[in-house]
Amino acid sequence: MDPSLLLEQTLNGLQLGVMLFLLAAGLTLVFGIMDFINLAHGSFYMLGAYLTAWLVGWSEAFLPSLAGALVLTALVGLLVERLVARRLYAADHLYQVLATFGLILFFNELIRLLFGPQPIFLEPPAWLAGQLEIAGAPYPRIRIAIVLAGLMSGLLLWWLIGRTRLGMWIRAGADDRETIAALGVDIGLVFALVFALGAALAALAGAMAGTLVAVRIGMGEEILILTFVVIVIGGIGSVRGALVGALLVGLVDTYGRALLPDVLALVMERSVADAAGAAMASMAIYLLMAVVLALRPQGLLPARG
Amino acid sequence: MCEGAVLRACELVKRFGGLTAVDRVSLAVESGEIHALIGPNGAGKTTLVNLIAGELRPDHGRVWLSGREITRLKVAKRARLGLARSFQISSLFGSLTALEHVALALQGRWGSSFRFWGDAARDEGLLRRARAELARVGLEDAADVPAEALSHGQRRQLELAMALAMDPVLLLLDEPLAGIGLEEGERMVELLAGLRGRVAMLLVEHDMDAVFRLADRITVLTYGRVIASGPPALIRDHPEVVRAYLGEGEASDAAP
Amino acid sequence: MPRLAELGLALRAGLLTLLALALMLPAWGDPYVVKLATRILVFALAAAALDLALGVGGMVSFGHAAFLGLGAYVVGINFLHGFEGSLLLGFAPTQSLVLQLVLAALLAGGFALLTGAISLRTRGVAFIMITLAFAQMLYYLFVSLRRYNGADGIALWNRSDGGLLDLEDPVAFYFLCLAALLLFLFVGGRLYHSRFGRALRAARDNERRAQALGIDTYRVRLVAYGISGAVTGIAGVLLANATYFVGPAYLSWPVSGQLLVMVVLGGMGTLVGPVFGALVLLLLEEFLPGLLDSVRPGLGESWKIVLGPLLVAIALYARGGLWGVLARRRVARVRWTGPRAAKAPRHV
Repeated sequence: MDPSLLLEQTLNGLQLGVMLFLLAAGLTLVFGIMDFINLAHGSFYMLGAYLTAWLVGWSEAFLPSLAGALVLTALVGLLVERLVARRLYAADHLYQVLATFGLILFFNELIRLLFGPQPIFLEPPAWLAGQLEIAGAPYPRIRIAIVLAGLMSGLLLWWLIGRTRLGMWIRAGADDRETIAALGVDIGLVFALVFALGAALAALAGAMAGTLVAVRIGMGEEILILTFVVIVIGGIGSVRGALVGALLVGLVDTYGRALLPDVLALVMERSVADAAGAAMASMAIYLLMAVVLALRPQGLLPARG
Repeated sequence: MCEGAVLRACELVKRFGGLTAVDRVSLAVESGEIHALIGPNGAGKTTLVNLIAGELRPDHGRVWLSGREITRLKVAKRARLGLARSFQISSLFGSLTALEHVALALQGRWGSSFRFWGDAARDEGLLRRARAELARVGLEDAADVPAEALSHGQRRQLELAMALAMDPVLLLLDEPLAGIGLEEGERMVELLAGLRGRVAMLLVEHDMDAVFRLADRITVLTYGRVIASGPPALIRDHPEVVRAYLGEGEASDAAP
Repeated sequence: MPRLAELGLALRAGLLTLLALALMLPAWGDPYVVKLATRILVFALAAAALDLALGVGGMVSFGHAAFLGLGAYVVGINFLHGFEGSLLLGFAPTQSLVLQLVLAALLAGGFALLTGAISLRTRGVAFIMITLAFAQMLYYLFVSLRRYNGADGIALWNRSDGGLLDLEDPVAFYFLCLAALLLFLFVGGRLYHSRFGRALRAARDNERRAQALGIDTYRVRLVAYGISGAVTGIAGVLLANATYFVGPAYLSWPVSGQLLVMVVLGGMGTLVGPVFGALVLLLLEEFLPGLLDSVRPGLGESWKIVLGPLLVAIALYARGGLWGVLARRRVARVRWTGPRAAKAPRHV
């Protein structure tokens, strides 16, 4: 195996991994603390990409646009929490699924009405264009920036949860809702902040993805299902689990797609290997999930117990 | 030394994090006897019951039922082997009637839950037996009342009827008198006394009068450990028991 | 599923009228109506099958499109091999409807048992996410199978061979679908009231208690999940024949969502309610765009901007669904959270 190809695939896997982590971190907190399943989390991802693209087209300044998109998506998140999610925290999961499924349909059509059905493009800023040499192999700067930004967000989140007062409330809320209420904390406020934080993180991941691929309707749902796999593998409610799960899924998916056809070609005909390799690669992470669940139904790093 | 008897628990240990809730507890319930388990709140009684019923796995130790080791068996499997339990807080299926509850217990015990066709509500064999079981606890008149409409004491009786319907080798009764009135409590004590000699019981109960009236043997648990075990007369005068439990027990019962 | 005898007179009369309408519908003679009604019947069958798992068994599956798609691909793959004159895994492909139905039930039921065995080890939100993920796995598998046209799917030139029944006749096919639905409602009703059905509902309502009575709740659920998957696979065979098409889109997550909406909209845990859910949802899908276009041209394309908030409203305010309104009955709760439920058993 060509080492530079392996390095490139590793970086690609890391990059998918950190994006998945940004999505999974907020979602797993919402699961863990509010016991709420939010299918519309992918809509925040899509909104982040669209809003960034729209603001960049208008202001031509990337970072302020990104910041604006994160704030706007967080506000949408607050609105969703207030109008829909809050009323369903105590309800059966089924109704949470139904309502947030409805929200997906709503957001997708809203975007279609506002931006049209065609995909739009989000140009990365000039200072992130071009390639960077890593160990003698060229690699796009933007992808490296994504990995770094993702890791920094992860650190920020670790600091926020581990070292701040809000984080203490969040941890208390994940353990026991009554404890946090007994501390005299407005639990409704904590829930709303967690929801908005999750929306902003998803928007960040969406904006990152938008610089690599087209920004289009439905982009949120595909990655949402991957995010679910991440959360299930990592253990519901666990941010550390989300990190491990995200990197695992990112790497397995990327390696699978890049390497499986070649590996299979060693034992079978090339054309058959290509077809089988593609089929197996598309299923690889789901099989990973099945194996993890068969051995550890609670996930690799469960939040409790 | 751990085998024999109807139920034998040997050296059971259960830890939750740093807390050892059950610490090397061994006990035996002999055929036909009523064995009471007492101890102050937090002594590990409920944990011990859950270890025996199979809801928790012990960290150490083993459990036998009628000479068969059941330490690793699932709750449902233990139930089908004849380990029937009642719950501390009545745990019923709200909309089902009393009769349907007993019928469900019967089909659970018989392992006949994989019959897909016949209408269970018109299954005469099942219904006749279920009515008989209700009559045993004096609930025959409430057969068609949904569980949610029964009085608290009636629900306790229904729990007992379900347990008895399972034709148990061991009855695991978790505070059968909790929260019911004097009159209904008296009826329950008489029911249980009437079963003495016919079915072995492990009885967890706070009501000391009832315990001393019913029990053939008493085991006292504090801080997860057995501090005394023997016939009621012995336990009543056991200095450590009096100090650790009965003395405090009066006070804590008064202000729970 | 409620017993007929327990329903109010008006409701019984209503159901009978609806059945009579369904029987007389082809006499109307409008091919468009027959086609739409056939589609409704097929989805009603799938939704009722999902309800067996979801409403009766309390298993919130968000992956039933997988079973529907597997059933449809049984038709598509056999058709393609038959068309080419090639063998399918060494066997001659079959166009016989009966054989395809059996194959679909075995395949979809088998997949349900396999994935159910894993996903039923978890509960609550994890179960929802895992069923979704397994369905997505199958979706990507069929997208990547170039042998069967990948994402483009397989267009069918003719329907399966119904033996004495000529399935190309839209009316005959309509009655086949109606018969399939009625048969499942009857069988499902027997199942619901059987000892198995009771054990399944007991596991849904109070798992811990059911286990203490000796009921192996895991196995009971798994079997119900398998039956539900098998029947959904059968609906898939009918769907492929109804649309003359099979593609990965049948396995996609929005289809799972659609089936779920039908069940909740109709009233879950009743088996018959989802039939109404399918009726209403597909009628909305058919006529809402036109209605919106008449309000403002071009708006019809975005009809889901109305459907979305409607679903939110149902989740918030109308949880009993249509059946709940009609029969004035509470529906089953399906919160099934295991560990947490074990800590705080439901008081009666």
